[in-house]
Amino acid sequence: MKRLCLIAISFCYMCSSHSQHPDSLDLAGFQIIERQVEHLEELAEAGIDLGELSEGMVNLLSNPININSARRFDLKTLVFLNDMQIRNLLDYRKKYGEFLSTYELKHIDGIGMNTLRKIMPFIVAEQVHEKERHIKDILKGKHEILFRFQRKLLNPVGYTQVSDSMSAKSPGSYYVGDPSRLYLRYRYRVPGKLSMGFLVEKDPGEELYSKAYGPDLLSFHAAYEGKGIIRKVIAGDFHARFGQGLLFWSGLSFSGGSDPASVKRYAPGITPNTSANETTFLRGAGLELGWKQIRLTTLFSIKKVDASIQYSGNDSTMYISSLNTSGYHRTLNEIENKNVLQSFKTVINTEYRRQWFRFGVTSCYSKYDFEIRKDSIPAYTFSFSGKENICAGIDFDLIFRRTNLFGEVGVSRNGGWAFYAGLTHMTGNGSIFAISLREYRKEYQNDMAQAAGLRDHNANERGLRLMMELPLSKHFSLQASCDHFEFPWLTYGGSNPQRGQDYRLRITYSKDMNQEYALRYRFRNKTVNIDPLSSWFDMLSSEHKHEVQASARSQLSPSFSYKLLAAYIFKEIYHKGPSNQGSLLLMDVYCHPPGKRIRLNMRYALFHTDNYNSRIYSYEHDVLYAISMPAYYGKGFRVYFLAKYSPSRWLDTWVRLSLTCYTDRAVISSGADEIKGNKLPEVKFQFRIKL
Amino acid sequence: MLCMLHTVNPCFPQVVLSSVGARAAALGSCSVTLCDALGIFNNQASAAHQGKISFALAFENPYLLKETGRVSIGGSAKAGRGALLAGIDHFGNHLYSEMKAGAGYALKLGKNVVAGLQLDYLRISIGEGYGSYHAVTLEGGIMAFAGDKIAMGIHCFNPVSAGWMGTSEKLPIIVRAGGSYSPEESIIICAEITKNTSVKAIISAGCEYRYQDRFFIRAGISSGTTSISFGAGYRRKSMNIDIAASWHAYLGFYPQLSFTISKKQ
Repeated sequence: MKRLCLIAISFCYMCSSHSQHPDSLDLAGFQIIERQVEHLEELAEAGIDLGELSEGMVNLLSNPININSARRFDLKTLVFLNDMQIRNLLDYRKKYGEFLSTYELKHIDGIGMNTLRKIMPFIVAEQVHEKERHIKDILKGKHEILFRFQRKLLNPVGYTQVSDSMSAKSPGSYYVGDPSRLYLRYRYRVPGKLSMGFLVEKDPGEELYSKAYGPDLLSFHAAYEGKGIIRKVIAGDFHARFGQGLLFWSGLSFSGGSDPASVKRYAPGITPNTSANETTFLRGAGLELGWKQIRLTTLFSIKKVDASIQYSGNDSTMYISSLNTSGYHRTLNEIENKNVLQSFKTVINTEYRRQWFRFGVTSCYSKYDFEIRKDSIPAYTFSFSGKENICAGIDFDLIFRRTNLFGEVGVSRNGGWAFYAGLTHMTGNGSIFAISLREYRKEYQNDMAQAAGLRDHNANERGLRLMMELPLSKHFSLQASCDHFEFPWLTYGGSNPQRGQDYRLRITYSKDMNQEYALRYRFRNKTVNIDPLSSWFDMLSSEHKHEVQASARSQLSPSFSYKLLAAYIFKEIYHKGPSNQGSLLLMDVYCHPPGKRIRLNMRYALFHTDNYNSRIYSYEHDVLYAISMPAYYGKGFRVYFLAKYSPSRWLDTWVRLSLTCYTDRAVISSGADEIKGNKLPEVKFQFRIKL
Repeated sequence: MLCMLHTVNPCFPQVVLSSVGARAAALGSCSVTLCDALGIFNNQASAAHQGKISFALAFENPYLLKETGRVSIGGSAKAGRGALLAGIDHFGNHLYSEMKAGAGYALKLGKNVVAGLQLDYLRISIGEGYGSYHAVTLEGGIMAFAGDKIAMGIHCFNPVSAGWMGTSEKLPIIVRAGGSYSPEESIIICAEITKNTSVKAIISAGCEYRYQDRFFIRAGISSGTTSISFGAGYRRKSMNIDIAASWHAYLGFYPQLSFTISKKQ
């Protein structure tokens, strides 16, 4: 009877909503992706392609997960569902049968309307038609070809044509290639079975084809997934992620956000590489075997990475002081450092899994063909030096009713250790509490460690994070988090042990999927050195940063939606006198005439910040699979125009024109990137063929 | 340590003017809307909401030093339309000690509003012949409820701006205002702002979660000296035991323990 009532209620909801993904769900989906990446501004600043992170979610928007057929594994790709919610969902489906509508999910213990709103754009409830799997299925895959062209319409000074002698004289200031970015990707995929593909890419300033290296980035992979003893085989370029990332995690991860789901990582094991981030992937082969509850994954990778070679004074032996992770090969200097160091890595991971319990052991070995020796400054006292390293550790995951306890411990060859543990608890109404604790010793040396934290490679950090998400009422929800951290040993540019806090608060009002109003506040506080150049103990000062953001998204008519956003930032550094302020006001308009094959998206943004220190990052809509999150700084305005046109089922095209116009400067940027004038126009074009 | 506590102003009690009890401490010192037996120290109005008789006992040991113990003891009893309350709060040792003793009355002003007022006697005594200082002042508060979910409160210490007898030194005026909200039965979130005439305003927030109707887990943050705090509690019938640990960035742990009874009949 209860079930009947639930179905009746769900039907009422269904009638009021569209049965298939309408545009507003797409927009809501992008807003959720935006929320996931908005705190990754440091990565965006470093020029790292965040598309890798969001690609999975963007794909889900066009191919939502069917909650009636999804396995545990599929549901985990919805980053917002925690293990207990997934368990309850599967139990519910087992008990009551197929879901009739996605709204039925809100009756499941622990999945409130709050969580449902976050996953709604990425799921559907469709009837499952049992199909017999056949070996010929391998031929029924889909081909996807994606080509992207991107170029700034004004050339920076680094592209000036100069004589060879001139560029040899200043090898860091002139680019060898042209200013366009080209990206070509092909992938053949049979979901859940087979994936093959390649990717060719060139960044602005890089040569299209170099005689010495060929194309700047050429990546390929072939991967097979099975259900027998051999679960996965991958050859070529791939990623490997285990446990909570304390031992081995390649590629990027959503972590550090204010969503309680971000406290725990879901490690997918080995997966093919489909991104153009040149420094993060592994090159070699991986194999995953499964037998009953046990899984064994092993892999090896031999990859040449960028580094600058140094010669020691006494015996002129060669060593490496730092690895270059930018992935750029534009100037003679950068080209000289390309593929200098060969790195070999191998990993073995074993996992035992039951429904409520998981236990894993990971060990990894890495070897370089040159010695790595960091500069002898106090901050690097405990950094890795040598040619070989071994790390090993265990991870665990325990679910008890509505509580989930998980963690990982790792030890490196020199005896340094690191520890990460977290706990998530949820109530029946969908309130979620999470806490995490991290203690990464300064001696821990593992260049593949990427667990939650603020510092690279999880060394010299300790911290505590609290997070909660409460549905305050039917339409209001609150998300709050706080992070206290400490770097007990000196850091580069920080000649004292440092500490700080990061508080976040977000209140969201959403009436339905078409409307959302949010207010976000973030306060960051950390100690900074008064004189960052001094290499020994120095006076400390503190830096405070307040950020307030209000946004509104609403649908005006079936074909028109808009978003308004106002952001304000206030930063003060105590010893530096006047504070820095910045503000940003923007409006996005989305237009998708029903039944038409065109979609338009425009933005107009006004910004005014005192300087680069008070810059504001904002997510921008971009062509498929690309994410842009530029920093708005100085005074001026920015507009962009994005159009998607799909002339036929198998072809989609995108055009994006953007223009930043500064009113406070006549020269933009500096060094080789300097552009004369106050305008910065850019064009992007992309097409995708799906067969 | 003790020197640090009173270098700013010899006549400025530091400890006995802060919130009392492990529950409040765990919630980042948010106490102005808490309805428990320790309310006789934190917001006298709450005594009107207690049972026929209530009793509260709290211990604190700031930064685990033997010189910095604090003990608070008090109780309330129903009388007429309200309740009579009294309590005593002591901090320190023979070299330096602070004491606050008070008695007052709390009254139901309507269905949803309660108010309380207390007369306080304060003493600071400094050992080795430095003598002691005495003061008499008032404190009181109001609490208002909107349904079961929302509570608001305001409390003022020393509204009359009294001073130490025989000196020109004034006692600080401290105003605390805050609210709490209970999105579901087992959860309370609260936030509070404290303004002391001689210190910058402090904002604090906390969250309490009740598990199986008996166990309590609490966490709080504050922009004051203790930035983060945790606590746990256990309830059996009319009796509560709570513990809390606040964390100060430089001075370390600040453990607290409290025990309350509130008899309905």
